[in-house]
Amino acid sequence: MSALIIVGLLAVFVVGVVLTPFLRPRRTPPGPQPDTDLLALVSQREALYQAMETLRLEHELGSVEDVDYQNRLQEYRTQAALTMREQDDLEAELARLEDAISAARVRQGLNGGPRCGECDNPVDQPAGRCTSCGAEWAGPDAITTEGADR
Amino acid sequence: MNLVRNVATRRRGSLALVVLAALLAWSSCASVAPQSSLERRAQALDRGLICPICPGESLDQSQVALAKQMQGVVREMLADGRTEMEIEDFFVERYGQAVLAAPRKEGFNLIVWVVPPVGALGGLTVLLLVVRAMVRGRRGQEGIMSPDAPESDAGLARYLEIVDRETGAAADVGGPPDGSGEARGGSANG
Amino acid sequence: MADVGTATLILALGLAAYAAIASGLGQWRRVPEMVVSGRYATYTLPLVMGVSIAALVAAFVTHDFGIRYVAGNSNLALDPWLTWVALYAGNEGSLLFIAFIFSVLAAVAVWKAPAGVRPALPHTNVVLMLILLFYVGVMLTMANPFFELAAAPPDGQGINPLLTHPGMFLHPPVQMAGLIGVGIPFAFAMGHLMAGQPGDDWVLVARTWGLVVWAVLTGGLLLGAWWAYTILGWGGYWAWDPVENGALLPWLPMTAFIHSVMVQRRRGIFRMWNVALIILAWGFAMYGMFMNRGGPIPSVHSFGQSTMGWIFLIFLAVNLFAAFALFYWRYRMLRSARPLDSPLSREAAFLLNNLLFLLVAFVTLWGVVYPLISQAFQGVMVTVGRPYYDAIAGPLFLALVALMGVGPLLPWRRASRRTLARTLRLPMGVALAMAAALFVLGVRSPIPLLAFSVCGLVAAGILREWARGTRARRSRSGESYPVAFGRLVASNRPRYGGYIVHLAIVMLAFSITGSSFYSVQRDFSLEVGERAALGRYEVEYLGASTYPGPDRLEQRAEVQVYRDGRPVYRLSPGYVFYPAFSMAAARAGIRSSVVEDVYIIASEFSDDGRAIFRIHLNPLVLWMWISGPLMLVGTVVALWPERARVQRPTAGRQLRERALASRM
Repeated sequence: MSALIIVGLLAVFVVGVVLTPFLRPRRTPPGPQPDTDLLALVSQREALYQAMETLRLEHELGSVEDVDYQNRLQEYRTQAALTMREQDDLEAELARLEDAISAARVRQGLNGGPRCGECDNPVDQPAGRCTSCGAEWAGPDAITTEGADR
Repeated sequence: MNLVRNVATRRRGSLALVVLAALLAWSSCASVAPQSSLERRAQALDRGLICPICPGESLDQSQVALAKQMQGVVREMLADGRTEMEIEDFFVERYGQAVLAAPRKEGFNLIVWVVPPVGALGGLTVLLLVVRAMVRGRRGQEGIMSPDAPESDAGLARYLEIVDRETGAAADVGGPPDGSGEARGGSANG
Repeated sequence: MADVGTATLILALGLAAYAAIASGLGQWRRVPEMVVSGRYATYTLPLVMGVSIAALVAAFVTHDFGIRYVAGNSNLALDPWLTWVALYAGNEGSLLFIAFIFSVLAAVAVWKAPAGVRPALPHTNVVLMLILLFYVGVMLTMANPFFELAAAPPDGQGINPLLTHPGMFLHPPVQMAGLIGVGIPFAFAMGHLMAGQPGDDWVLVARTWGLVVWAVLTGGLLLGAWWAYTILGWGGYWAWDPVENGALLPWLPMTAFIHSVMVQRRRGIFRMWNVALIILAWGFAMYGMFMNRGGPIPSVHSFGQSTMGWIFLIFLAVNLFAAFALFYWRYRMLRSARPLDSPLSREAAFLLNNLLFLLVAFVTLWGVVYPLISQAFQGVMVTVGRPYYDAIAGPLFLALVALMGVGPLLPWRRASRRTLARTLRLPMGVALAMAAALFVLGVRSPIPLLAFSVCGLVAAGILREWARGTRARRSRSGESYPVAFGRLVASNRPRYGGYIVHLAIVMLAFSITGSSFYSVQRDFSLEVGERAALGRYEVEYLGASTYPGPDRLEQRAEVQVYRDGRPVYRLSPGYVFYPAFSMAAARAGIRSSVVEDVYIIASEFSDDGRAIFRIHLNPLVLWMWISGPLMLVGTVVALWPERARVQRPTAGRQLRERALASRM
């Protein structure tokens, strides 16, 4: 009998654990997650550095000739620099988006509730057209930055 | 001769170690007096016959009485002057083909022996052809790792400097470069 | 106890099913709570399975013979230490063991998944949980370890005597963990395919798990060889037995895989090869488990009377079909644009490596399958045994060892013929010198001569790289030789870890060559006091004693061994006879040295006081056992995490996603 009580408790515990994600209040996403594209660029650079190190080792061991060594080293170097530039550009864009979102949030917070980006009147529908000015309203989470590029 | 020169150089160490291994191999392999050829043939036959009641064990592996009996028969027949083929046939007659540890290279069973080498040659040929096609196809495109050549050399110079700093530090000490974030003027924070 | 066991298994079944559904559905319908809940379910499964296995252990310890499995694998006289072995000695217990191990591995895999594979993680979790679901399902429907007998017998049957050897404490659990462990990299591969995001992130996690699983599989194989050597009593360690082959088959593509992923990581090519290799490895792993549970061909290793093999065959077929369907669906994503630079490069060597391992697997599979073909087409049962494998697989393995020597000397992308010739000079020189020396000293057969020379070539190549690398580092930093070498290894851990493992493989090849070609054995019938001679050794029979036990009868002979005329040591070969099983387990008297093993079996004690001995002299066997720990060391070095060279970024992902969504 005591054995089945153990199993019963175990079942209750386990079911509890499994249900916690549903029972918790919907909290804000856990901190900033690194963007997957950024991660890809970083790991690409990491791989390039590793390749350069291996190349250096191979050259020392005499497996690679000087001419090949120099050419390939330059290749990797240039590629790493390009990757770094791409990463900088991407991070700059993300920073810009971040600012735009906080600006939009501030707007919402001050006036209590979502507002249309064009005429600044309150809107109470999830998406569609603004009832006041007729502009396209893409929803409360949309970012309406002026001069959004690309 | 190259070998002499190599020995005279600092590579003596690895050479010595490997020659030591050779002596080890020799001392264990060549030290036993040759057995009587009859016993050697008998042991070869033992390895070539499967005990009929054991799960896939050859006569020299099996511990059961029948296997010992069969080993005795093998030695008797060899002493009588029978050939390996005759002894094998004798057992095949009684226990079927499965008593042989590997099928004979004749008839249908030739397939067993032929398919692997043919498959190996076929695989190697395909590999060679594929590699040749890959390499030839590559000679067409000149591109190395990135198809576009670095256009703005000026803009890239700053990054090249950082790359040199990061990799230079890594190569000498073998540790991570510090402050790769600071050097680049701060990454965006979420 | 039985109720607890069955109840926990039912709970585990429900949890695994839920985890698979929640992860899959949650990912498809974009409900993050479901995905997280599914993951949590995966985390709780080790606990539930742990309780289940604890229940079985408790049943053994309390001698609960009402449970059929306990009655069949233990008795009152069972040494308590053997409870561990009894746990997995039979079919049902081994399934529970495997399921438990897998639940732990899956939980760790999901928990420690690196950021790069997070997008595909729910898919991976689905695959992991479906696999676990299968095992728990099989247990509950046809192989319940907690199945109760109508009436509890007063005493159990006892454990199979062949399992009472120390090797049995390690070999089966390690082997089984290795086989089921293949499922982890497999699940990551499938998750990557299902998620459909191009990229090579899954390769990093696949490499780590691949190496761990490979090391475990290798350990399992070596431990199995050691067990066979010391207890089966025929003086050998590998018989190309169908179950042994079943354990070897997944090891082959797995070895190719851990090498091939290096190329994918470095160059982004061989993607299709790697997916195909891991699917093959998993297929073979499940095939190995099928062979062990009622395959068509009997073996000393299998779980005796078991007829449930067919369900594993079905599972195997389903897995392979689904995996290859996924492969075909994502074919375009896997195709890589950058081909090889040159046929003389490390990449090309890895390609050849893949081919050779696949050929060995094909050849092994062919040998296992041919008896069935013969049965079908000729109506005649044949055996395909050692002679076939020695002749066909042997040369392929030798080619692999040779490649292992030349491959690491090749640089990436392209090697010029001049530098390659220069690099190969010393290893070739050593190989030739070794061949010449051996020939002069009496080793005349061509194959062992070639094999030993190849071993010399590989070892020389590795040591040369170590020496040059250390010297180059020393000249740059002025450190002492040991410090320079240590720093060299530390800054190139995958490479030097690999070298250490290769060195261990050379030892293995060395050992196999010596013992395969130069083992000698002879039978002697001796009276007490009589001596027999073999080589430089003499063996004197001193006497025999009998040791009765509660469930066994042990008979041991005492022998004195002389080398070159001088007494050196005593051995006690004998037999342990178990009436309940009508089986006798040999206890060989073995004395190992780096040169050779003296291996004595007492095969018969006759009534007139004579005893029949079989004496083996097996050269170089000890090197096989030495290679095992060395391989472990090498794997640990290769796996030891290197410090990241580049700092990880911290910008937000949701921002980007939201921006993209609003721009539509």
